[in-house]
Amino acid sequence: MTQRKCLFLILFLLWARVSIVDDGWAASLPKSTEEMLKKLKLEANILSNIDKELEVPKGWLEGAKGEGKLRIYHTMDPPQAEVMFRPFKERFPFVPIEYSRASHEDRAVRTLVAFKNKRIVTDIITGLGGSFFLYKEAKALEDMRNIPNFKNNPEGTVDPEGLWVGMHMRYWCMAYNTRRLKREDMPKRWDDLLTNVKFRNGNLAIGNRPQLWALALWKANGEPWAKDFLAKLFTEVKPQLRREGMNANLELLAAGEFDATIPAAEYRSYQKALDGAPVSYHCPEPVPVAVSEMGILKGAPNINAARLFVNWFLSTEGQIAQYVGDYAPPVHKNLQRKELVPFADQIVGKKDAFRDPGVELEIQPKLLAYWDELWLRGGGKTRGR
Amino acid sequence: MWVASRPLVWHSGIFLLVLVLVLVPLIFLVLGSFSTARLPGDFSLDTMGWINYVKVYTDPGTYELFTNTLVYVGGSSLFGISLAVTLAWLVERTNLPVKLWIYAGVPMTLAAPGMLQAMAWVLLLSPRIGLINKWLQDLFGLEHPPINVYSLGGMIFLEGLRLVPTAFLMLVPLMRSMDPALEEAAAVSGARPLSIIRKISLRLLAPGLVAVMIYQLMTALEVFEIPGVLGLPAGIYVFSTKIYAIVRSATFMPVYGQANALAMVYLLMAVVTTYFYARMISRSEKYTIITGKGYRPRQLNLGKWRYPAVILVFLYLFLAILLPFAVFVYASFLSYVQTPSLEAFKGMTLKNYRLLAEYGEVGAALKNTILMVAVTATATVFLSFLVSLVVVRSKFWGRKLLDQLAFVPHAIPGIVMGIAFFWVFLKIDFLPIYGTVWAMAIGFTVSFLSYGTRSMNASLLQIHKELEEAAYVSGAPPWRTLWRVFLPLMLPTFVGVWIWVVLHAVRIAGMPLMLYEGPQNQVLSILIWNMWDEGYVPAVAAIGTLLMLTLLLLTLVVRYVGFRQQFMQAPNV
Amino acid sequence: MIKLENLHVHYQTDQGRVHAVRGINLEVQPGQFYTLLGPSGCGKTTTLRSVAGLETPDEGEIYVGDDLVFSSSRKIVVPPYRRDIGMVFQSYAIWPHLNVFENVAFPLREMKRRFSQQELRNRVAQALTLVQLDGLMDRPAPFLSGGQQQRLALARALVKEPSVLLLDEPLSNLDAKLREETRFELRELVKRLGITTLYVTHDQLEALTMSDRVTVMDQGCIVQSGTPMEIYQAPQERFVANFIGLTNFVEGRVHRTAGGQNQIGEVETASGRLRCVLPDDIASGDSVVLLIRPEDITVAFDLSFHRENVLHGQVDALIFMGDALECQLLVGGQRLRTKLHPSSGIQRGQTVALHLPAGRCRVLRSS
Repeated sequence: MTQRKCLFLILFLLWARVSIVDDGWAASLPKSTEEMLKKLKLEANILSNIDKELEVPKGWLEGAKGEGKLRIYHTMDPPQAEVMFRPFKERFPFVPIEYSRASHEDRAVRTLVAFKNKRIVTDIITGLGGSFFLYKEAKALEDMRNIPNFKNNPEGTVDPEGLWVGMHMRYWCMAYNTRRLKREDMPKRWDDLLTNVKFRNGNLAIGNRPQLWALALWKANGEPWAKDFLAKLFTEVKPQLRREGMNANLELLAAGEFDATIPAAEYRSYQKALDGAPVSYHCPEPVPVAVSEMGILKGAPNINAARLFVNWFLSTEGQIAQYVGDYAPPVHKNLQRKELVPFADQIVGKKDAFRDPGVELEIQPKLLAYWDELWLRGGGKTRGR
Repeated sequence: MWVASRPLVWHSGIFLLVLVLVLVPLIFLVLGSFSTARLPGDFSLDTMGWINYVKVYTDPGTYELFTNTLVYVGGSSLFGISLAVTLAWLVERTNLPVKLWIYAGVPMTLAAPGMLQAMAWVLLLSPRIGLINKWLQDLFGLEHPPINVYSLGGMIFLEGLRLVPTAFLMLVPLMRSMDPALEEAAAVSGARPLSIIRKISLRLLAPGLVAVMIYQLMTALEVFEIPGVLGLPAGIYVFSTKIYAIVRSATFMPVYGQANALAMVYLLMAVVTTYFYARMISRSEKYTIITGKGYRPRQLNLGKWRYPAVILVFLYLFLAILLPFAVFVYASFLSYVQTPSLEAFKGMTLKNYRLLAEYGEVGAALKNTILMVAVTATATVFLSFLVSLVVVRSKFWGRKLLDQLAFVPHAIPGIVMGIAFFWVFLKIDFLPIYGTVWAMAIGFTVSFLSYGTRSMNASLLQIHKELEEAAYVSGAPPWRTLWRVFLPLMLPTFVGVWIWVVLHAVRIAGMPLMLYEGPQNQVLSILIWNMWDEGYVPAVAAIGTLLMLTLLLLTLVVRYVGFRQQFMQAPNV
Repeated sequence: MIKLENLHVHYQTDQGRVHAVRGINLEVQPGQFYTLLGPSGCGKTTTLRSVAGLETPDEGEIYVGDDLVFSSSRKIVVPPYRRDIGMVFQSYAIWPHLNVFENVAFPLREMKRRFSQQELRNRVAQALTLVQLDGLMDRPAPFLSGGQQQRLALARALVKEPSVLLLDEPLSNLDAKLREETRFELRELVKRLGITTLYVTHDQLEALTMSDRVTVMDQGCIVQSGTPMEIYQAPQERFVANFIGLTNFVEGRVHRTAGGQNQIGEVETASGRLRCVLPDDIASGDSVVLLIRPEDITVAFDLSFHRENVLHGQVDALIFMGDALECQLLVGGQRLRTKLHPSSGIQRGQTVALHLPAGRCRVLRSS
């Protein structure tokens, strides 16, 4: 009898020891990571598994040491990217990073054109958007399924063939000027937008990117609903049709050019609010949501460094670092929590409408054609075709 | 130039160089317009077709474009040139007291990046948040905001203001070289000053004036920053913004082929306008008496009209420089854009400037910009000078053609040139140009060649042939003559063109955006554009303020020195 | 010396190709002051510029000094900066960005030989003294008066002591008084230095007063070449007679050819028969024109003591010219110009007698 008790005691102690050792491991986290956790008020053991997560084939580490600068094209602001990179740089000081901001799809196109002319101008590229299919056709992307943390991403947030991985969740809802509108005024469902007079008379602004939000709604609520909704939106509500970028619209919103704007991204709206602007965020149901893609160019010279980076990026630490950088909600399946979503009360718990790549192929052309008509008649003139 | 067999070789060399530099993007423009392939580089014979043309020219929207564009371009050119003529005339032909202000101040308008100016005016005259509107409404108790800057009128006004400096720079030498005897003859025949101006002076100036107007018309046609910022929200499209929109399409693929097809209109216009421009210029030369003995054109005494004239000058400077500048300075201290109020002032911060100092990107962009701009300006001066020498002073068979070739790129929008060069540099990958600041420098040099050659042509014509011949008979071979006679006499023109190119290369974003590949060739204009696009208006205002200050200082110094030197020297020989 | 053989020059204008110089032959002796005289467009400037090397002829040979600087047959074209010449331009072509010293020193700096700073100063000072511009060395060139600039141009042309000096209408931009002084000084200077000089002008007074030899050109060809006196007193073409000085032309027909030593013959004119000098190859009955200079005609109330060549006419115009009185007379329907002393008391409308000395009446064949 006592022997069994002893066994249980030992097992208990071992278990306890392991817990304690976990905390001990927490003490060996990079400084920047610790600061991050403190800032977000997250418990240390959120990163309990990090060392396992970051285990990679030895060849990658050795290979990365011999490579040059890792080139990354991303859409973040450089200072924000700096913040995000800090833990990576602490862990892998032998991988220097060259970062360029690459906003706009034509940048993706030019990278592809260069690739076809045998020039690989970057190792990691993000924000592929619609040009993904061209990349696939040109066989320009690496298969990333061999990256350990690839599996951290939920289904639907990675390419089945491993050519792209989702970096973060992205919600496209409404931002509004808190001086002009109150939370109570905001529509619970999208249909409510059509009936509230507060959004008429040009108080509402619409940006020219229907694929960010209307596409997901079309899929979720069906074609007849979508067509009807959009038609009424343009003809009855008569919003201001703005050609500026979505982020620029936020700036104008803060300045008072209009009272609300659609679509607005959660991370950017949050940043503006933190700056002190009278801006807040609201999501009618269903909530349009998508993932942003990241890929590695095939034949990238710094392939090992790239794999190291992507692996780290998809780990819990990387995803948290991203959130600290620019408030982009993680895509990691274990990090779906309120603390890591800006305006969580707006988003968490609501029904969402997910935009998956299949949707893009079949519905997008129809949506764009329909939208263009409305935009044109609404006085916005052709979108650019 | 003394013509013998050897000089002909370098003439042909220059001709060939310019031919290549100008024709290559044009060929791409034409070929690309037939390409139905998705990507600009995927050009092959079986993807050729007329479909781009069909799509673009059967779209009724395109024809609306024509009307808008016509009104916008015509209106802004008229407004801008009228203002420029008035200012140039006040400086050169009257006894206006504040000449230095005009002389130095007018070119300074070039220092402000286009979209920043537009943005400043949005903050002033937007129907919803415009400061001036609010103030006027308060003052007069109006219900609706009186001025809407998002209109054709707004676009015309602002673009007109922006056309003034270059037109001014081209008109001043024209005014200066008028023979006073022609006007004096009218005076003694009994004509009053206003009548003289109308019947004699303006008529003599007319061909030169028309030439300048054609030139600025082409400028107005191709810039897209003003119509982009002010026109797009109002849904007013003009050609340049339409092409930009096609290239930056919000759909998944920019359709480059269609952009090129639309841009063919520009090519057509380039040919037509170049033809008329050349005719105007040659007529203008006949009317301009090159005063070998340097008679100073007589100065009109303004008398009591002095005060309104001075007010006009300062009004222009205020609207074109001071007001927008004040707006960005204000905006650069904000966290987010808001109209001026007690709260706004309380919330002012140095954050944006601090960010700039910390931003590694800014430092790199600055270095790249300085390098690129210096190289471009120098190359433009050098190449324009050589081209002008051939055009004005040699008997080379192709010199008229060369002159026209140098002029054509002015008509092609920067974006289109950018796409063309992007493709070209990719293809010639044995030369390490792709993705570097050299790519932008080359692209810009070709674009600015038109201004450089206009300026150098006019200046070279002023140098009497005998000054050159005297050097030859004194024993100086051609290259020594160049060094000892031409260069010193052309120095003011060189400096003028150099500064002009610097001011333009620093702030134009269209072409660099197409050639931008990463931190190694990111320049300030791209940085500003990206940040503006991302909505970081206060940060953009901060960069814009610093940029403007630097450029203003540079311009002021150069103009001051040039101005003094000009008045110290005896009349030009 | 300068030698031109069968020189042909063409150039392109907007109106087409112009044959500016058509087969000129001339020779300037060492130290000679040689003038090309003619109206604008006659080719004199083009000829000068060909000697300078600023125009390239199509055919012919040019010698400057002993050097063959141009030959169409041997394909030799020596550029201007290698010819041993100095040139003064009509506009002076003073470089505005250089001061007086630098303008004059320019040719010295281009020579193969390197001069020290002191040598340069000496030579420049010498040249300036020659043209009487001492003391202005440091003045910026544009601050000189017209006359000073002209002298500066001359100093520059002379400073490297060339064997040939070329001058392209250098006095045309000066005022009359200055022109008169400068004519004299220029010739004196050139003669003193002994430089072979080729001078181009349309002003016949300059040609007559300054030159050792004058060649009259018209439409690319040489019309007559000779000393000033020959050109003036014995013009062989109507053109020359008309161009140089004032001449009266009287049409007529040869009545009797020259007999005797003095070659005086008789010509029948509208005003009567006049005795005059006939050229050798004239025959009786030929149409001719009789030339007589105004200053050779005597005008008085009574000239009956002259046995021949006395005409009568009416005073039609009197023009006071300062140093003379030009008197225009209507004689037999024709207007003759004469020159009188200002104190002459002749009045308009009066009938007077004119005497045309036979030896001063020259006859040319009517062409």
